[in-house]
Amino acid sequence: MLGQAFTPLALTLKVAGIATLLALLSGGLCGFLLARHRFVGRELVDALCTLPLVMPPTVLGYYLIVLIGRRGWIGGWLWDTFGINLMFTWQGAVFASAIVAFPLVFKSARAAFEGVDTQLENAARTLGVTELGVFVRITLPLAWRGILAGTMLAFARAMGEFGATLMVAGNIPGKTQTLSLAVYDAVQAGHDDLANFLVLLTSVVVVAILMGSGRLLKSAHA
Amino acid sequence: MKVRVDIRKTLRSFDREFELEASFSAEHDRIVVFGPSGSGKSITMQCIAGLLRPDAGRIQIGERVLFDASGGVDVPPQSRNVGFVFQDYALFPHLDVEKNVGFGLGGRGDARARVEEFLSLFELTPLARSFPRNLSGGQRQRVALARALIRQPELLLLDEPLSALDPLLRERVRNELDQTQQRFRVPMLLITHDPADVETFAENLVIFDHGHVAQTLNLKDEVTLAAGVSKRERVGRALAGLYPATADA
Repeated sequence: MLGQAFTPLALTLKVAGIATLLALLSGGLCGFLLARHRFVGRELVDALCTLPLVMPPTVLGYYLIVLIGRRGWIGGWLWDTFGINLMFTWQGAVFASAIVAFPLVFKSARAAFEGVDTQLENAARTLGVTELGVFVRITLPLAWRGILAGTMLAFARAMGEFGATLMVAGNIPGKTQTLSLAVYDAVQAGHDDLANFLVLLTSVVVVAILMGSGRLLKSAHA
Repeated sequence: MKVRVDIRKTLRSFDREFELEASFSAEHDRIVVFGPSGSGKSITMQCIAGLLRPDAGRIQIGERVLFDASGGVDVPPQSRNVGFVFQDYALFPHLDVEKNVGFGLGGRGDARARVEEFLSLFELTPLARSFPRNLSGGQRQRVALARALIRQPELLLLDEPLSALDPLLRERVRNELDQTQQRFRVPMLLITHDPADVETFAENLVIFDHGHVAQTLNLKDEVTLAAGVSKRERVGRALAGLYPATADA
């Protein structure tokens, strides 16, 4: 049973980890741009960026198929140019989880960057610090806490991803079957023991991660 | 230090428009910019520091042209070598006193020694590891001053540096500021709406009103102070002429 659980667990951690990293980079960047730059349609962009949070995962999954399927807008190009196919691969699962987790990082990053007093950045400028230095030494350290909180939520969300992943990556044991998909499979097949074990395992891992990062957050600001 | 400012800027917010047209020149080391709130003092100061960009005009301190719209000159704030003490001091909340003071020194070889020297000059050595939120108002101002002066700025800008303090403390901190300026001999331009600051600091007095410079006074040279008119009287008359004009506006 341990072997049956280990494969989906390892896959889940890998997929959720990479997806969170992608969400952190893109969500952080978008959050910063929207917090600091005024442009026409800013709130429309904000709404679009938040969409994955409120759309049903299956609808999102369908959009993703249209986008990265072998005949999709991006997928077609990837296939024709590089021979890369994302459908029914763990990379596809990463893509789906990243999209789902993105709004959580984006929303908290935007709020965190908007919360940084621009006066402090101006003070740093008058002290001769370059724009990059201002960002690295003032803006980021002051916004970091909020961004990290959003990233934790994003990771938890990515670990539990089901709908969009199923649509895009399918449910292939040993290849794209993450924990949540494995639980569904086990229940459908009547393997209650395995289902129980997987559910417990998932719960323990998620709680451990949340507690660990909570402690990390606290000690970073002691 | 000769400071020459001649700028225009229009600021728009959603419901109103503010027109600034500030033109003055001052030649002494203690320039006080006086005027009621909302008369354009702070905007002018931010233009001098390079934090705001005027629509037109020219800014010069000493021989250096910092901004010249027609000549296409706009020195970035990082290179203006102008110190800025903000109204609420704008200390970096995530850094301790030592790191705040040394913030603008970067990787200079003598940075450590200089920071230590400045901490002791400003009586901040025991507070080196404290964070801004744990400091009193007077201590915060000393940190802000040390942080700006450690870079040896050509001009120190102070935006109502005493208004955040309670009245009991204000008098003492004013004296400290007075002594600091004399010790470092740094030319300063101070914004205030407190006549007591004018009396203590003003060698050149620039009076702002409704986005314009209403009057400039030279309070240092004997010519103006001759004929038995004291500085206090001179300032009193100038300010008396200002307030009735703004009261009914």
